[in-house]
Amino acid sequence: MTQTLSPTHGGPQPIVTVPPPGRQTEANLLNVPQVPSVSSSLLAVGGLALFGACTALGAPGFTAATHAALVPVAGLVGAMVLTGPALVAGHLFLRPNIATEVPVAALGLGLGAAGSVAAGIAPLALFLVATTGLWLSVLSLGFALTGLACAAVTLQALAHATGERPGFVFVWVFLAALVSIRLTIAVGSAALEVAP
Amino acid sequence: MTASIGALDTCARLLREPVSLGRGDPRVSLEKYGPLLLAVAVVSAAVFGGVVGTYRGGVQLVFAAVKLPLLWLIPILVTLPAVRALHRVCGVDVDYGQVALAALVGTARAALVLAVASPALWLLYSLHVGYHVAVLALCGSLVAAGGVGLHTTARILPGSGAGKAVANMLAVAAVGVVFAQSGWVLRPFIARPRAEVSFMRTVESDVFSSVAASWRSARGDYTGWDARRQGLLANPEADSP
Repeated sequence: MTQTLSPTHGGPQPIVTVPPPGRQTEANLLNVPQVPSVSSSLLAVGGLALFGACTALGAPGFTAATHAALVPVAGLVGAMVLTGPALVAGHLFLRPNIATEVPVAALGLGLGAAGSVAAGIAPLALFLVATTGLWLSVLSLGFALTGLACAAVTLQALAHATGERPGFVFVWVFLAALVSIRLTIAVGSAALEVAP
Repeated sequence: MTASIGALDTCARLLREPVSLGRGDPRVSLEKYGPLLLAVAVVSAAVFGGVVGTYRGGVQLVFAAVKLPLLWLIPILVTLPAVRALHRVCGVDVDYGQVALAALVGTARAALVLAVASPALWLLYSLHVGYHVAVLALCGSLVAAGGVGLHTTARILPGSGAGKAVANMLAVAAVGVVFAQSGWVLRPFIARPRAEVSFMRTVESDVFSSVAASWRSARGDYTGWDARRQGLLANPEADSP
């Protein structure tokens, strides 16, 4: 099986790559999920920001509100930015038959799912913040839900695309969760200090 | 005459085969049945509210009849985006039209069941039962009807398997929380016999702390309950002397 990576009309000879035996390049390339566009990723970040802003309305004082509003974006997007390369590198290292686009696309789909859930629960959060003093609980539960949605969709996309067991991806999810919690505490500490 | 026949036919289908109202193109169904379902939900809830108001009588009858429809409709409006997002994340591809139609059918069916069962509640209230028994009877009726509505909504929404089950559980939790808190915000539905009648109380504390305090009291722990004014809509200055 061969792949041509340059046009065949004139010019230099096409580069031909021959995959090593035992690797299922063709099958796995067929399953590459579509990498989400920049606009859809920005929409997802917007959904997270909307959820943060809705819950922050209940925080006491401007400083606490600012920090609370940043928690979903910083906690989730920050964790994905910091740990995403590990997922990609892990796939390149441990699963060389998987196209590089697969983990990238899975991360994008996970972010999209998190943004979609965050935007969906934003009106619910606004209602609870407007009628109760439970903004911190709403923020925590909503953030946990978006994180779970992100992890679930990322795992599902990877499993669907690779057709393999998650394996080390579970370790990555654990690492990403720890990094996310650390970032959340760092960003939300001011809000927690002021909160009653 | 045609409109009344249409309403009767819709009510019959709501009780007999509610899933049939959700078949076909959801936008067309929503256009066709939406206003009628909304009317059925509002009128049925208002009838039930009127019956609830008979416990105190007088102007409370009108107040309860106005607020009960809001109790059913606020959770739909607030949780509609969340229900759609949760279903999509769980792999159930639904759009707003499908979710709105399913929620409307579920709400209308629940309100209709409550309305037709309201004479039983009226009978109970006419026996001059205690305030707490009256509140418990109201809560039980609402929970039972809410269960019917949520079950109907879940049946109409597409999808199957574990994904739909998880999405339904999350949706029930979201709707349940908003329903409970809406009831708390819109209270009193049943005014205490000697209390001053008011359309709504000030926004204070939340339904969860109230339930916790009731639970403590039921176990003999009467440590009291600090119902502070909280939330964006509350007026904290009202607490200050």
